[in-house]
Amino acid sequence: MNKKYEILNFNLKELDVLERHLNKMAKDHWHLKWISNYIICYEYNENQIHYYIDYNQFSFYDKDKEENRIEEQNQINFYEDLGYEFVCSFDHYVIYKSEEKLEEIHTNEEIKTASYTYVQSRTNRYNFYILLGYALFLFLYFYGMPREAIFSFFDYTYPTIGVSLFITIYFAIQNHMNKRLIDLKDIKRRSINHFILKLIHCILLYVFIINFTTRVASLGIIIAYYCVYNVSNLLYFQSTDKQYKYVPFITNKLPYIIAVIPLIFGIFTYEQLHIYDSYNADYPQKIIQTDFFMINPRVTHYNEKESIALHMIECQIAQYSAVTEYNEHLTIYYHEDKTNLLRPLILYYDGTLIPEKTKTMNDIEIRYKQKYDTAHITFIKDNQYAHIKITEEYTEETINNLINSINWK
Amino acid sequence: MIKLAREKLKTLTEQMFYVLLVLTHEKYGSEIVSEVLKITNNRISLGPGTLYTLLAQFEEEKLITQTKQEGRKRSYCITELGKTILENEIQRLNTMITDANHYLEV
Repeated sequence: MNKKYEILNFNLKELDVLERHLNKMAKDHWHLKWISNYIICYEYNENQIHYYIDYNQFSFYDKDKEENRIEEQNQINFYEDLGYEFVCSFDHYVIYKSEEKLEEIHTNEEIKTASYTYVQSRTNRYNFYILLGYALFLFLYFYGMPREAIFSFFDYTYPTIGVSLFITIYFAIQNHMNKRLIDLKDIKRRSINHFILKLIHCILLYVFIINFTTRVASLGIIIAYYCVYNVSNLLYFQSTDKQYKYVPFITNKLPYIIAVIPLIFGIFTYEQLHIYDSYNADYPQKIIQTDFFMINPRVTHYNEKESIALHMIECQIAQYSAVTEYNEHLTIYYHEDKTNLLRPLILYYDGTLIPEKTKTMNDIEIRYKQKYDTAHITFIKDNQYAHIKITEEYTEETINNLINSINWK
Repeated sequence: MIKLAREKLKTLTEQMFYVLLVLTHEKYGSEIVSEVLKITNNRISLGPGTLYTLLAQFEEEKLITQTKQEGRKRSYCITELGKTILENEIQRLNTMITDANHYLEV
């Protein structure tokens, strides 16, 4: 075998580490053939060789610009004139080699730091544009679809809490491990450290975000996650403003601030969600898009038309839910979410009085009564629907009066 | 292009100083490196990244100018403005040495 592949499992931002690693491999006669963001390919060669890595000022963000290509080529020519042979460029780096041991690429710390800061600022700007793109996408996602399909309890609040926890915990761990990385000179240990960090990242991602995400909001949450991921890059740059400068997490307030924003938003939407639950009835044809639907428990009596409405809803959701006969009056539909737990999807009353203080109804009723004085319900008749706002306790007489006053659409 | 924080090159680092000094005669990049090593007895070395950035910065500030290009090789030479900066720096260093000597004699 004259080829060898290796997973690139340390942080790409650590230029010195990569350079040392390539030189260590070169000592064992494994010469770099190509490198990507994830894999390094080596080729066996008896010759001795030395590698040097420089920051790529003309990184892939500006590759298309002709003047940058020319300038990049000029720089490569300049280096080659000094005996540094160009190998390849990738991401933020340009790799050179020489058969004899030459001077380091940067012999001036001020210039090295300026190069790093320059590349860093370009990366930050690039990440910022990505975030803007995501924000636009999220905006379209949230406002381009029916609100009731997005703002439901299980769809949004838990993932929001998850994202907040993710940011806080992940960055605390990352910051702690970055501190350790500074002291670690051994490349293998750094690699292991980096691998563990990525593993924690994946576990937290699953536990806090994916696990609490239902199918409706999954797209939005995945996009939101990538926002977080890009913010994490910005934070990393911030915490390592100069190379290997450690900024303790406790003094780096940005992660906390970022974590608090979705949390506040989540709490705010939590308050709104109960309203939207009842608003779901606005669009019966779209009810199948929601994961949690609740009929107003304060409505203690349904007439024939309401029963028709509920029956139509039932027909639409039946294929997605499990059905349990709770008692002779009450049918409970369950929806299986991604946590493999059955959640109540709809409480359906068959036409007679719902027994008070039933176990399932009680929680909902108490919670509902504590927060709201009004409720909404939709009536359906011959593919027409009408939305009614309810502001008082129901009796058979008041509900009949309401139904008689309906303007069918 | 990378910008150094050093304001308007009012003071020069050792590497800046020697690069400007050797460019009082027209030189290619590789010649600059070897000449600086020679006159400093290998004390000051210039990596390609450092030299490239310095030359680009000097060229932008019009302290040096590109004189010719042969294939991939380019030669540079100091400008009048560069000479002034260099002379000012030499004067500044001389003043510092004189001050230090006077102080130590006292």
